Amino acid sequence: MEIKKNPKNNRNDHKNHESLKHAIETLPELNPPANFVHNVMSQVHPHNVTIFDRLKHSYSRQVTISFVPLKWIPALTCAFLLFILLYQNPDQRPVQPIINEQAELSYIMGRSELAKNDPQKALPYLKAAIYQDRTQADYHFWLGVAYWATGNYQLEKESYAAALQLNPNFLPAHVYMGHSYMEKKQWSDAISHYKKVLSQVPDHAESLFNSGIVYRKLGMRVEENAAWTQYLAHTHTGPQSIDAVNYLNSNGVFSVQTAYIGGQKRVLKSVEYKGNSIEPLPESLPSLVQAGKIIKDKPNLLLHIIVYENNDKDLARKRAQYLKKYMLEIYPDIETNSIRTSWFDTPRTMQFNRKQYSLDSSVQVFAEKIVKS
Amino acid sequence: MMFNPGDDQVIAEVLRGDSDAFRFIVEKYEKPIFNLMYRTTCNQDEAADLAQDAFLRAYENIKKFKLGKKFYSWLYTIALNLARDHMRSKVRETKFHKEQKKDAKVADNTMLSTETENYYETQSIYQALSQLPIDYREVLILKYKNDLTMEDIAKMLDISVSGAKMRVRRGLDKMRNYLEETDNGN
Repeated sequence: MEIKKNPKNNRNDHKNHESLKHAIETLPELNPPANFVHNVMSQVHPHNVTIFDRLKHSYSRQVTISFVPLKWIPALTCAFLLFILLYQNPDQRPVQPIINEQAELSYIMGRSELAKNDPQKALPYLKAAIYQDRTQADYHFWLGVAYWATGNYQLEKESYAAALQLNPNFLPAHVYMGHSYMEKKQWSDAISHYKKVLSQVPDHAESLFNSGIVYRKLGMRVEENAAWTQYLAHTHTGPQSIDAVNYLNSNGVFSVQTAYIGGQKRVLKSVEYKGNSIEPLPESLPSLVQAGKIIKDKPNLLLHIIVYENNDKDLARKRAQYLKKYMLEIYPDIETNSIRTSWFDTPRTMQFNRKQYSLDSSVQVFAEKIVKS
Repeated sequence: MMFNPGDDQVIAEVLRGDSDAFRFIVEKYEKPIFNLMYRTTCNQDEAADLAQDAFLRAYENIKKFKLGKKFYSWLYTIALNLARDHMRSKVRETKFHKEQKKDAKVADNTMLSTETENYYETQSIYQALSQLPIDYREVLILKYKNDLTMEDIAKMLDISVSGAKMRVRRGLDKMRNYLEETDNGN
């Protein structure tokens, strides 16, 4: 910093002071640690407030009343119409929720900033909304989301907890609380929130998938497999469904499998049979219909159906032929040579995580592009 | 439209028994109080502990706060007293420890933003401020960084307005002298 001293020159002194003042004004400040507010608030305990104090502060509270005539005209009109309506039907008085308009406005502004992907700007609006109306679980929840987006995970959890205190059945807060615990590898805490969600919405995809992960981490195979099965019963597409199948298969459960069809890995329910029947179980048929539709729409594909039946080549052959016939009946437009069948009297072997599985009875389906010679 | 609850409103809520309302106070003033402590200790962990103590002391004594007065001044005074106590306790420590602290000052100051245009200038200003006695230093911060009036500063430090003005002037002089000495040293 170049500051020249000349005690005899007051003007120079003044100039030096001005540059110092400017330097202090623009001096950068450090941010406190992220958990600072949490640390303070965790040590703040409610004061014992006497009834006298409470009344004193309630009556000495500052009250602001504003009146905007233009704003009141529609409100008065509505009130008048409502009065007429209620006068006619006194037994059918609707119960209107009380909405704090100022809080709602702050909340909407906060949500809008979040939607614009600017959580830092959203924070003050959402905090203001809560200050104006602490009774709305939504406000606390979205404040939690904004905290998450700004990396303040402790306050994120506290906000979800506040939302849940107001409304223990506020499911979005349970879902996000579960995610938050998952990120911290607090598996048991995470699962309790996902369970709550699933008790209300049994097919909630995110909660089902994450439950599967959590149970896997906890080594609870039965619960894990149930979670994957339930998840796949509702979701068949996307990378997470492929993961779910892989997890299930790696646990030795093959009721579903993945198949390359049309250049994509897809989830298919396994084709299963009762005893030595040639016809598959009815619940297996949708997978065949799904595979057949793809072949019909993409005639440049060749569908392979491979049937494995350990020590029974004849049964394997009959099953393979039945499956081809069935698909051609559903989709008469498919050319016969677009489906190729094979059968083996050996078990099908599959490997997951260095563990080998041997399936005595199995049907493998996949498709490849027809190479024209 | 942005709603910003006034300090009096928040404190009235706290006094009515809503301890959670105090969060608004902490969130609003955490930065200046933390920075005051950081300027005092030159150590982020110690600064966080002292700032935390300042807020807790304010909360414990909130019944003594007179509604209608400036809360920030009241809070800052509490924090300043804590900072002074901390400095006093440090004086008792050994010279060896002081040398260590001096080193720590230099090391810790590097945590200041390196993105500023005049990084080295910022560092030297920070150093110059850090070496000022706390009463001179904080007067400068309150005046130029926090934009408080001389009247407010005088009330906060329990001195006369002319005394506050004098401290500002002397603080600036001391800073200038320090910067000049370090420049000559280099």
